[in-house]
Amino acid sequence: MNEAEGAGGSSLGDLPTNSGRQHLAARTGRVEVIEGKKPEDLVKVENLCKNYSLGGFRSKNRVLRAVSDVSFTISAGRTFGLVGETGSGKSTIGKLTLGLETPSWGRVMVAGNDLALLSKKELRDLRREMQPVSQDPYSALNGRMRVRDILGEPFIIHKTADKRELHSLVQDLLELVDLPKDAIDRFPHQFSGGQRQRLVIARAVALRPRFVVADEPLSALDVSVQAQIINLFKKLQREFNLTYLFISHDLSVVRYLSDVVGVMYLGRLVELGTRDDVFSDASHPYTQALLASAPAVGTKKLVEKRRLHLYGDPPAVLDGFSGCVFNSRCPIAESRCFEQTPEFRDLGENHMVACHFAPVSVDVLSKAVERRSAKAESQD
Amino acid sequence: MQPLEASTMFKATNDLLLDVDELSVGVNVAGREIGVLSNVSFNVGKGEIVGVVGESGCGKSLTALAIIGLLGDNVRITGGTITLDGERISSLSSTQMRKIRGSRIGMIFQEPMVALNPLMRVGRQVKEVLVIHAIGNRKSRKARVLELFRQVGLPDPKLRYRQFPHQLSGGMRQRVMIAMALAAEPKLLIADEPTTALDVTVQAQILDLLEDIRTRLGTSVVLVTHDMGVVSEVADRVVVMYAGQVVESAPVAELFENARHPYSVGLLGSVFGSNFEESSDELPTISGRVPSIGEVPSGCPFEPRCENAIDVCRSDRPPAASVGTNHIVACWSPVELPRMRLFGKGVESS
Repeated sequence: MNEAEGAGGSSLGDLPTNSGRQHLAARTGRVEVIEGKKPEDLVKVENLCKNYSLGGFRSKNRVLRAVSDVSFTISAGRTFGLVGETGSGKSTIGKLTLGLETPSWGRVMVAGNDLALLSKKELRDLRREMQPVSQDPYSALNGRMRVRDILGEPFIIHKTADKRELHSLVQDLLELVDLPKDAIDRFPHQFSGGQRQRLVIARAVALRPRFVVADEPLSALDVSVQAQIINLFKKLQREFNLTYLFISHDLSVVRYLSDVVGVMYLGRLVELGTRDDVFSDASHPYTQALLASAPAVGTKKLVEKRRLHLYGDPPAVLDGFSGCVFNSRCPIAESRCFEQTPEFRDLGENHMVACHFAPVSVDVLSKAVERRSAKAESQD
Repeated sequence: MQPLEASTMFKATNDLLLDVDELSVGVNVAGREIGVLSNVSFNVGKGEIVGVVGESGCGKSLTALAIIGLLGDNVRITGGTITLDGERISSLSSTQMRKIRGSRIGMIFQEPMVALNPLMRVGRQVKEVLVIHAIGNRKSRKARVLELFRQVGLPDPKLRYRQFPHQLSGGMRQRVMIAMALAAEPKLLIADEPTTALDVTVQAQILDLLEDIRTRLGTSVVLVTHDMGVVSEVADRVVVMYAGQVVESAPVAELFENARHPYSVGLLGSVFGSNFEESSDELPTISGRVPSIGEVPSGCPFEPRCENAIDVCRSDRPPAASVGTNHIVACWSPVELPRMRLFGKGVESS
């Protein structure tokens, strides 16, 4: 973990190389967990696509492109933050990386195993290494099970402990997530939202996984409780060297937790880089607008904000879309943006951006926005 | 427009629009009445945007519902008054309240999909408000609705007029809701979490719109939200609620710089805007959680979670006291100034 700062970044670009051996390992049918060495890429996503059929009559079968051509890697012990608005494909990526959905194209490698090539049994074994933390702690827990059974279940399913050990294992888990020991005989409804989320997290880390996908784990919680859960996430990462895929629409949370950040829009990654790249040196017009839109705490006097607000809402991504995904809302879009899909290119040091005009400065954008609103007013 | 200036300006002329005074509300549960709001007081000046913040279960929405007279059957006002433009509205009958709702107080709710009738074209829904309050005639009403749609920034008003709610996006639906709320030109808008269901880029548009309405029409807004960021974007003054009580109220800049109530300080510390410095530090948190209805302690409601608590906090409810211009705090041992600064570097300098 020496080149820590670079580690997240340096592993971003080199996608197809060096995966041949691991690929082979997976094909021979052994679930091989590659240990040690320098900051390895625990999770590798390559050209991932996921389409959903929306049905329809005969030839009119419509396809929703939930995820298109997404590639990134996550180094062990690091946090990859995925931000984007509703419908941008964040959660689909979460499901794909856990093997809960099969990709339409591309592949997902976790600890050197291509998820698509694993048998059911192998996938199940690998699931010990990768666990989800879901958004809604109210529906994630079975209301008819006691905490003892909820937290004991992973050990039983994966046969890693016998019954006599269970009690103490569950108690250790409760202690780990700062819940009282006597919680063991209670039911989920006897806990508050924050405590329930602690239970969900305890269940996720029960088998000491290496990779945790947290999909909007805070959005159902109150602000003061959110901070407690964030601290818990950080503590667990420190203790077990956990690797997180942290999915959230909340920019400040992602900024706080992530080492590497990916920004999604309509199923595509539009920007990818280290936290500082994305938050201090945003180069895609959408990232800029997203940052400008997020309400900052502090008054306007304290936080000088540029008005960089977008018009309209994100459209749905259906088949037959051409050009840049952001073209309908982008203030600087030109004819080229409607014809050509911009390449996902490196601006240097693995700061990747998908925009013909990147890097785009805030000044250029705000001027373009001003011009647009002036035009809109004259039309009225 | 600087929000702070706006608020001081309105205060100076003492143009009060809404005055909530010592409002208490009780819920009847199985024959027993449990207090859910106690002695809530705040006011709203003409053209002022007042943010009401707090966590879920703090009584924010209930306060809003009490103002517009939409409390449920088992909920009633047990004390205090609500005065709108000099008229006491808390004691009006439901028939009289009906006339006020929509015409003098407009409402915007959180879920535009739930609040709109899915079987009715949106144009007709907005027009309905005009019909109910007998504004204009058949011809002028349609023109007025189209005018409203333009005002709230709905693209292509004529097309929208004929569409159903499901054909609109979330942001557009919220704009329709706002158009509906503005239809009868009310002096006061009550917005209950108007942007919670929306994406950030759309949220920014709606907040812009609220500010624009205030500036152009001089409408006052009570903005109920859990999001400190939203408040700091648009509000002039902030009312912080906890467990059914107002614990602090102050102009927005004053609150963000000099919050005195330990709960406000904790709430601001837990929220991290763009200003936080290091990611390695632990986030400051408030331990525990909001008490539920019926388990609010008899002393200060925040006492069990408060680090500053002293003996008197357990036994007696703290009275509201003025600690600065328009700055009111209900606390026996408020955070001393200068406290650690929330923004900028100086955590260590106190």
